[in-house]
Amino acid sequence: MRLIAVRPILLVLLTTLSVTMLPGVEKGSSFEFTKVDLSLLEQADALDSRLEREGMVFHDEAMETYVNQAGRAMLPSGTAPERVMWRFRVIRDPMANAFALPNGSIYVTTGLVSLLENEDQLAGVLAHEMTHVTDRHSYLAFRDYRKKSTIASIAAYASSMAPVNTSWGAAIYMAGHMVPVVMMASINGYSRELERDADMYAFNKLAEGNYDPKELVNTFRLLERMDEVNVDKIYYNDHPKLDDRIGYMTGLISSKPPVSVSPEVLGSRRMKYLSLTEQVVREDIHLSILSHRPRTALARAKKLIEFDPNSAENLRVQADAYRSLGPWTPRPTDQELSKDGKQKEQSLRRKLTSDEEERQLLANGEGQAAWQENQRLAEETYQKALAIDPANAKTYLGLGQLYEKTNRNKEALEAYEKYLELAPNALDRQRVQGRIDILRRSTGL
Amino acid sequence: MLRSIVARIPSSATGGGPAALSLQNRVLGYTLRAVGGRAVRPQAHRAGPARVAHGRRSGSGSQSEPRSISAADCQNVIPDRKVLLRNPPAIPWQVGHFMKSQLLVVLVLFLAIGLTAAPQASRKPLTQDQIMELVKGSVPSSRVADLVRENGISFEPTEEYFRALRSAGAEPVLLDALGAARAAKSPEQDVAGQAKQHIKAANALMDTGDIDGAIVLYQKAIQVRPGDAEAHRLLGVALGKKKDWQRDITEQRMAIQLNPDDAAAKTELAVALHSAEAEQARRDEPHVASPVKAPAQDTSAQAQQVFAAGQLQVGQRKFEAAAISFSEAAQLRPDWADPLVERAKVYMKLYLFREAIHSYDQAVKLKPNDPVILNLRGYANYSASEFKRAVADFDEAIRLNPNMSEAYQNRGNAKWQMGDKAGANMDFEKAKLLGSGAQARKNTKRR
Repeated sequence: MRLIAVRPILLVLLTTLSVTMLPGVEKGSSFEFTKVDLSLLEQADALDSRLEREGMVFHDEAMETYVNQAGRAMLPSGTAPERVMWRFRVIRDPMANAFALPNGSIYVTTGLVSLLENEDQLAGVLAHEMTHVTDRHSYLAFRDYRKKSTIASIAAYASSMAPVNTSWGAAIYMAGHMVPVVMMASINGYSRELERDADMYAFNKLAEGNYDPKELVNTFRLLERMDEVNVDKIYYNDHPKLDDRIGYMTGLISSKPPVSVSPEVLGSRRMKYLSLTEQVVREDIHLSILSHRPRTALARAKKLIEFDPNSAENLRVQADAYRSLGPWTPRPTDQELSKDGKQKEQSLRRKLTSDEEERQLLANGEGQAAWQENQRLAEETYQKALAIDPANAKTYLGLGQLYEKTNRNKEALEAYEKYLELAPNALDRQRVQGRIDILRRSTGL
Repeated sequence: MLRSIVARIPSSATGGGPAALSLQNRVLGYTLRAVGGRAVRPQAHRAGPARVAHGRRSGSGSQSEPRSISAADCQNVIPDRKVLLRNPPAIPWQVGHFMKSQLLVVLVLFLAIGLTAAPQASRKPLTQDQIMELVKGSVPSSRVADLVRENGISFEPTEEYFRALRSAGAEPVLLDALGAARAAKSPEQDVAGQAKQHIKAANALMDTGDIDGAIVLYQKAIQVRPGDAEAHRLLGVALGKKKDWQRDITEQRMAIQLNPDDAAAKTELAVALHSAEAEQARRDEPHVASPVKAPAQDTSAQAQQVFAAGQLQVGQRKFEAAAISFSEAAQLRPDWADPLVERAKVYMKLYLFREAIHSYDQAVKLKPNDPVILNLRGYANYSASEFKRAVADFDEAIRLNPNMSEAYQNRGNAKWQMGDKAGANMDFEKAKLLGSGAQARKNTKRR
């Protein structure tokens, strides 16, 4: 598993090397499709249906409508570019990212949706991705790659890739195994020039659409925030690049000041955004926990609570996040963020599974202290959630897992039983019943 | 014409910017209803401002301090104070040393009380500025966090405030403490405040024409605080704007049930009932549907005006409001295709493909030989994955205008999606040929 994971990183290196030296950009309208381009298009269509079939696409009517509205408001009403069919989708992946396939499918990850704060930011991201489609960046990058590569048939190459890992939160990893190398550029980012073009286009589109283009800069700032120590580098979270983007965008704003949107309206749009995305954020927190990014999970949960502090479901999700933190502190410590710390963490990751790493951390005093604190906060938050909604089954499940881990077997037993009582048709009934049986035996009840 | 009257209402008349805005909106709402539902209630118009003012008062009065100190009250108070200031009660120094020492005792007593009360006073919740000052004054974050925990806070820290604090050098300890302090507030107070916040945001969205967004937030407010009469009433109003009279009626009834004195909700209910009835009547007797036709010139000018308003709203990204305007314009001038086409374009932006196609259908009925409209409907069909119908539309558009490069490109796209790759490629070729020709013609013209 771990070994395979290295491969996409190599691919990224390869593609970024090749993509950075692109020839002059041909504009979309005069673009002539070649056989090679069509094969790439075919791959994009295949990837679309693959993502759909693997259950990676997040289907929620309200969210789907919202993303589509934000994107389509900026599209011309009578025509699409040649061989493009616009589709806007949310994809299950806790890593903040967005990408466009050359066939017009634009994907935004749940991680990005839950990181952003308002519609203007979402629109900015979509406008940026739309440029990659209309200006045919994927095709251009792919042509360039082929010139330098010896791999003759991309189809053969794609099929030679390792089997797909379908676990949650692996869209990028998955895509890396499903599509030709150069599609990675669509997902990991293009050359500085192309991305800059896309940013400029997004700026204009936002200003045209009565959005606040300044929110683009805020998007970059949000992306700069570090919740986790080790994050795979993709264009969206690449810091030097983000600094660069913030730089030229601020320059553009000051040279061409857009009509500013009143803070009141911005505030309302933010409320609407948070209200509509609440469900997605909860889902994303769940995904973050599953993919061992507990700090991201907690940061997103805090945002949820900030918006709606009296929702039992939000509190439960926050408690889950605390519980999953284990021996890690809620925010990376300075030591962890230092170069040494990062390297150490990286080597640990390579050697140990996350369970083993957790055990190692628990062996020292700091880890113990953090663990104690996180468990305490988790319990407290679960109780808060129960005070608001005593019939939320999942809260009891979380409490049971928490108690079991802290060896409070009797309480764990009670919580699990309550869970099954409230959710008799739960999918994990078998497993929980198994835990109950074991706990009964050990507590002698 | 009512719009212009409304626009002229000075904001001071209602005592504030947002209130005035929402007043405008409300009155506008009535105009729209009146036109849309043909249920003109003149008294509703006349009663508009007064009623709205009343509604706002009843809405805020239930949750916040009464603000209704009249000017007369002030006049009654101020003279008294002036008199007091002019003739301050002098300390009778002439009464002798005995009195003076008594005064001293009283003073000492006061001091003592003051001192014992002092810790009580310092437990006053911290304000936003106080914390910021402490942080900027490089007081350690852990110390400020302790203060926050001891005293609590008197405000709702926003994300912007957190950001400002962070950039001022606050450490996570303090931010966590602030978060906890807010969570510890009493739940009922918090819930009311939260609901209010949602309502405020929703009102602002109504002003920007984002009715769907406003509905989402009103619903959120009700979810947070189900007993909020104001939220129910305003949700009803928003639904009414979308002509969902039945749900409007339900919400107004709910509001009245929650607050039987809510006069605004009662009026809203009356308007909604009337509009629903009128619409029903219109549906039952379609042949009398357009009795307004009599003064043709007048409605035509009015239609043009409403249409222009719709175009303006599109520019401001008020798509839902624009759709309503275009519908109105289409109703005012049923033989005019433009508003139907523009409405369909707006529906495309709102991801309402079926509605868009339907709207284009109506336009095509009026102008069956317009290749532009057929191309647009074809594109709507294409977006809705109705490729066969899309191709039929593009075929027709191309028959009517064989030089329409856009229609060729669109037909190519539709054929491509259907798997007709050869047909698609031919169309793309043709589109490029025509497109470059058009481009060349343009260039020569420019020269």
